[in-house]
Amino acid sequence: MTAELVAPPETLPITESQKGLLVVDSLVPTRQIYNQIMQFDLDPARCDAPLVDVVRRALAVLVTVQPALRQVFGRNPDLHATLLAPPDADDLPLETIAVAPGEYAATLAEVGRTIGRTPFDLGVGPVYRFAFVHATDGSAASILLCAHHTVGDGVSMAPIVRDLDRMLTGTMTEDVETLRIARETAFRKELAAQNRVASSEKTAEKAAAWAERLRAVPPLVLYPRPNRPTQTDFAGTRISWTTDEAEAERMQATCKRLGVSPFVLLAGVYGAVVARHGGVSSVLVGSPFAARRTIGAFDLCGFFVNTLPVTVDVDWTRTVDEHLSGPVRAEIDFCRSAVDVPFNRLVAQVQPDRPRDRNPLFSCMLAMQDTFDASTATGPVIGIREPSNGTAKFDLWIGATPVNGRWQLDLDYDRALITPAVADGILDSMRTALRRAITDGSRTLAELFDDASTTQSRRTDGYAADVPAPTLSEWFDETARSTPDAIAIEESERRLTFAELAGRANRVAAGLAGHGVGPGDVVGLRLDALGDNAVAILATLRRGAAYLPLDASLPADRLAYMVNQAGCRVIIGSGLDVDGASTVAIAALESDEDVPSAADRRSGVYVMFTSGSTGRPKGVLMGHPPLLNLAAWSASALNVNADTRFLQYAPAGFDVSFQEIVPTLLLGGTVVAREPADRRDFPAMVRRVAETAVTHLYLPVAALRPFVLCAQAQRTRLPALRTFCVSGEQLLVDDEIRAFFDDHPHCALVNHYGPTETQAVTTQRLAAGDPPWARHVPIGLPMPNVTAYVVDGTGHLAPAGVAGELFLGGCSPAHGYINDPERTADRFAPGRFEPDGILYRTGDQVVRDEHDTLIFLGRGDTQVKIRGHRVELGELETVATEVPGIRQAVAAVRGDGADRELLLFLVSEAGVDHDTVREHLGARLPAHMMPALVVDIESVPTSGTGKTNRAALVELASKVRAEEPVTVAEYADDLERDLAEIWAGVLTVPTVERDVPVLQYGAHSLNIFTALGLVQQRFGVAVSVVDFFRAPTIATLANLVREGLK
Amino acid sequence: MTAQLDLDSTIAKYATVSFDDSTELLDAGLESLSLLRLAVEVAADDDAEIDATRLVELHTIGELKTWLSELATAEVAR
Repeated sequence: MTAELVAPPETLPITESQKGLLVVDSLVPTRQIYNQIMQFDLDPARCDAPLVDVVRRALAVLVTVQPALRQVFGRNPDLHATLLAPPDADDLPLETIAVAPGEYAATLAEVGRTIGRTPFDLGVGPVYRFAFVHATDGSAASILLCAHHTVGDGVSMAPIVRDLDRMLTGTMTEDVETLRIARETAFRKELAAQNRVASSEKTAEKAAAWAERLRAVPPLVLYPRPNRPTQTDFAGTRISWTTDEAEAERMQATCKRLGVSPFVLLAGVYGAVVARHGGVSSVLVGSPFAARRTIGAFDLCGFFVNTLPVTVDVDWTRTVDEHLSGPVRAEIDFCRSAVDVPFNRLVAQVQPDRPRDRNPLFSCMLAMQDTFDASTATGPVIGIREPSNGTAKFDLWIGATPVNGRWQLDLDYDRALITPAVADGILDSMRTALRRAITDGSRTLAELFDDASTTQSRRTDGYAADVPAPTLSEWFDETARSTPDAIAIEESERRLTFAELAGRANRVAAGLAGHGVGPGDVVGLRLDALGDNAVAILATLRRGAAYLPLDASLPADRLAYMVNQAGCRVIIGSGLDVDGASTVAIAALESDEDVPSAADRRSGVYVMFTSGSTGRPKGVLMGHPPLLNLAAWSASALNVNADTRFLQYAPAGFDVSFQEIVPTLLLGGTVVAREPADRRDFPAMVRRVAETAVTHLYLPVAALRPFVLCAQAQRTRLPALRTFCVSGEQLLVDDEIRAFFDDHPHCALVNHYGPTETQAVTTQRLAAGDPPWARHVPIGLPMPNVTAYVVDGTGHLAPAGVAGELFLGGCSPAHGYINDPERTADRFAPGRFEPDGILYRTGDQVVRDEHDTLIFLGRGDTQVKIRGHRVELGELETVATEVPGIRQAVAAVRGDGADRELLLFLVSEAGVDHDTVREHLGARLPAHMMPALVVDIESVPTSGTGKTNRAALVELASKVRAEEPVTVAEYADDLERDLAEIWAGVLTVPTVERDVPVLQYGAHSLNIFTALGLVQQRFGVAVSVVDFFRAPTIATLANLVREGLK
Repeated sequence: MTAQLDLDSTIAKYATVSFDDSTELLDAGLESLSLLRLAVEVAADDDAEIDATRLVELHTIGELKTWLSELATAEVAR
């Protein structure tokens, strides 16, 4: 037969499935990903001879009588197909390879890998190619058919096998031309039937109802991480596992016992595995469902499957039996009863927000490849396989194939999204979970999994932490004795040697003893000067007591609560009057009485208060062991030593201040006061760091960028700076930050992580010489003697790539929350991973990557960070509802980095004005907890699951702010008008009035730096932040600029 | 009845164990793909259509036989 016998090509409609595939195919950069490979293993002895000629002729006939293979596709006016003429056997795209028997297997595997690498031209065709590999001794032979997926599916393999069986043995009864016409007719009928059902109204209704349910399922992200690519080149790797025969029998027995199919069993287990690895409790697993409608189509090759999302809901406490025979079976029955709903229609209804070149509904697939049973084969085809073509169409794909009484599970994964270690972890979970599911159906789903190895949890950064003394106080005494004349504290006007510092601390300790302070007590510190603070800290520790920093800027009510909650009876300093505590000036405490040290390893070192969700802050009582460890680690990891000059930047109420002061002193270094530079004045800060040759600097993450930009803008080099530490919130780095470190190649950037309850516990170090820095910087590896357990949703230690909550152990946990056993027990508890110790449950979601590095992902609750300050939204809400007339308050957060701000939404009775609310909040909360915007709402919006919908509130706030009436502000002159414009731009508000403090518009220490920088650019006047802060209004700023211009 | 016997023997080719009308399909080793193959085998005409969404309603051999009988005798719809 030749091409001339065939009429001009007729336009064929294509199915919805084909359309969907063609659209995706046109969007992917690597078009060969939809090349499907089928391998047909032959028994040469059962074929006619001569083998090569017989195969060539058989394949030409196969293409002739399988019209789907001859499709090519056009776009105009609509997506459609036409059929190419049947090929001539001599022109068939067929590569024939004869190899020695010893090389047969390797050659076949290699051809399997390469045959699919070249994309097809779908508009020109042909969209298939063959390879025939045979051993020269006639012992083995295989046909490989590579075709674009849009012309074939898994179910197509059986009709092809039936055709080949007859064509290779000359047993075809029909005439080829008759069969060609019959098959083309059947093909058209199937296409018509598919399109008729797809466009029916009933199908549309089904799709709409189904879509509603699918929208509630969260997206499944395997190996979640901030720098995860959104697009990939679809390069894939395959790993496999084959059950043994006993396991296959147990699978069958389980299915029989529960009355479910192997598909239900595998989908149920696979769903649980990907739910564990994706950290969700409901997943969509895509799976192809046979959707041929006409009887004639069962003899046809063609793309007639409908790939549909199977929802697997995972309740970790449910038993395997309940899971499989209940929700999983019901869901698969549902999909089967809705197999006529085309995937495209479903997608159109769900309208998911996913990258267009990936499957829009699911990222994981399960394909049952059980259409051919080789064990019953009597013809020449004795086995079939679908070799991987080295691509991955999905993030993860599992094919399940029955092979000689066993099940072979092939797992293909996208190499850009999932690393080999993570993929191995998934296959490990699949193996363990399946074995357990078929062994004991009474296990819960959580019990299908194992803990990952604790080796990763116990891995540290490798630095030493040699602690030379039992307490911080005794360590300091040793240092002071060995380097008495070295400078311990350097303030702008005064220096203290180690001998002077130790002498004063001992005298103040004697005074404290006179006030009855001893081990277990808490001493409040209300001091400004660095030297005084250092003396008071060391004196308190010498008494075996813990110090409590009291920041004068906090509301009096809050300070009183802190003092009382901590049981503090003595406050060193001035300006604070709290019932039940006596405030004593530091000078008045100095006593020459010889009082021996009462330093006590079991006592606390300090009490630091942090936001508490119930409306009251929590006081963390930190002990000696974690802090000794931190100090010793600082020596080896941060090179803190006698040459160190550590700038003291952090406010005393931040635990970072401890790390700046105490380890530096213990290791013989100098602590350099920040003053006279104001903390908010970056130009002054940069000058201070440069002038005092600071070697170590520790800033909140939010201050890193302003600081380095300021240094770059002022062209200030900091040649002494060696270690630049940051912490407080997620560190994001960009080219400008990197540029600073490129200019300071001797200086490392060290990202610290650690809640107040454990102090700093993990670090990630970045250096100029490193390869490109990831924008989202990991939190790194734990310090020595610190353990970090990532516990996933099943309660097990998470393998690499699986997100979970971070539990911190080893020596790191604090004693707990002071005088609050209930909240302490909730967060500090023995864990099964460390039976003899206490683990602190952080509430932080993290993932450990394949290099054991920890990556911070976010919070599992409503704790947020505002410019490095930890804020429990619940605390702001609770305090707001204390205002009479406020029925409900919801806090939310908007924006990123330094621009992040708090929003407060109020459901209130008429007559509650915002000034009253702000006044109440101001009297109880620190400045960083004040909302930037207060919005009245009638009711609190909720999501489908009944949770407060904060996203909707944030959107509402943006709308409110955009709709705020623009008041026509009045200014004294053009200068004020220009300055107001600069501020309005920085704060993204319509206008800034001349006499209203900019803080009320959302200004804070960091964007003040930006605004003043712009003022300097425009007017050439460097306004001092401190001067501006005295009355931060446009009017003040205008006066300062005028003065500068004089 | 002849047709009844024919259906039983056709089903027996796909079933893995002996069965009667009350036997559950999965117990007889019949999965959705074997049901489709059975349908293809007994259907009156190549143009006959299978409504695969109905397969999920079939639980026992008896129900399967009713469905197959309908398919075997159905007029070609289109």
